[in-house]
Amino acid sequence: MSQFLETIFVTHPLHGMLVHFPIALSVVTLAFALLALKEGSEAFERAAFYCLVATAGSSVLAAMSGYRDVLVRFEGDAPLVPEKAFLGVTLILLTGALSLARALDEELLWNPRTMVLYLSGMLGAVALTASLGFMGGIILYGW
Amino acid sequence: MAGDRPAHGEGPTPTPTPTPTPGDRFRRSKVEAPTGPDLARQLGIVAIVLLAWIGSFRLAMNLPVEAPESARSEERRSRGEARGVTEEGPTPGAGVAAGVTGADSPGVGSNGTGSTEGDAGGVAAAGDPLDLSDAGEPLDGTAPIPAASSPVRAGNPPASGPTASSSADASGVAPADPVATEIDPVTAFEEEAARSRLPNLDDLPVVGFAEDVMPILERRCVKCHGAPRDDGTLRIEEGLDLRTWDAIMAGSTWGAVVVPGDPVASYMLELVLEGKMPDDGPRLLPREVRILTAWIAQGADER
Repeated sequence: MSQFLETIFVTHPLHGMLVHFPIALSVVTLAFALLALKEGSEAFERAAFYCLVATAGSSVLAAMSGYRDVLVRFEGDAPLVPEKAFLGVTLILLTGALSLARALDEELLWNPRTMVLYLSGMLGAVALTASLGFMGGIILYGW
Repeated sequence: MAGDRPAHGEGPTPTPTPTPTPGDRFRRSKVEAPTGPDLARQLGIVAIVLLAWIGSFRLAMNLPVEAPESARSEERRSRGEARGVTEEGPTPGAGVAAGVTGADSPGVGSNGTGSTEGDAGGVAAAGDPLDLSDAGEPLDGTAPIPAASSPVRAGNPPASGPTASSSADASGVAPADPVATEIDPVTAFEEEAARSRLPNLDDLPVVGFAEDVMPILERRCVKCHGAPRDDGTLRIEEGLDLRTWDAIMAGSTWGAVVVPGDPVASYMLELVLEGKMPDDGPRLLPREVRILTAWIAQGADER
């Protein structure tokens, strides 16, 4: 058991395991929102909202594990740290703000005055997670 | 009941209503698209936020604002003079000084990973620091700095740090030294470039071969240098077997890969520091590089 825990928390990079969640969830969020608009489906819209909240939550976990990896595995000498930190914080703020706005206003996607903003935020989240994932690939496999 | 139905010819047939599906109660009858002004207003807000974000990113990353081309060429020229780096590659003489300083902040090197200090510092960004074949004309068209003016001195290698060659950095040319003129500039350059990428040799842990070095080799290297293939034969790339101390010391097809006591001359470490090895898989972590360096520097003992 102790070896299992050590493998999970010490040997394996935890960040590498967790980052897949915000990447996938942000894409699914946007996909559900577009489907909701196409079908006029409130069920899809609600699913998009839940995925958005999960994106925000998993981004926080990924950021925390990434910070730990920088300190422990790379001993503070990891490449691209400032860039990734900036993009990561942006992602957390963006998805957090979108989640909050949607929680306060259920009509966010349906209202023509906020629809584009909401969708743009989701698109931005996808761009951010893709960029962060690409940088992670550079760290591991080179440029 | 059949009796309630209108008889043939008594009136119009009622239109059949579609059977409702469970999803219909979540369906909106109409999705209203944004009008022109709404669309413009929202896109404007997105553009402003995006511009503000890009500005913040540039500020946070200390990226320079767009400068005129003349200013950029001036900056490139002065940087090239200070570091001895040409557009295509390093200038042998002055490049030594720049390679040692590690003046650039740690970050992405020429290969993008920059996980070792040397990748980010010195001449790495301009090309392979050990490959002099691509050294070209300096940016400003002046001749390369003569080797005799190299700040490298025998027996007095500059330590990795900004102070070691600050004077050379400032002027680009160190005072003439009779000892320096006796050194082959290419060899000196190669050694100093390699040394600049090494971890600090004064701050290395005491390591053992079996408990510290072998686990790294088994985890990161043996896959290609000593692992069995499906057909039962061993995969020994370049004739280098890294499973035992004896095999390591036997070297590869090309010769010794570890020179006990001399990390700079050890080809294995050079490849690791340059990021060429492991060929297949993530680069070694700084901690792992330090252990390998320490082992070689401490004599590469079998214990």
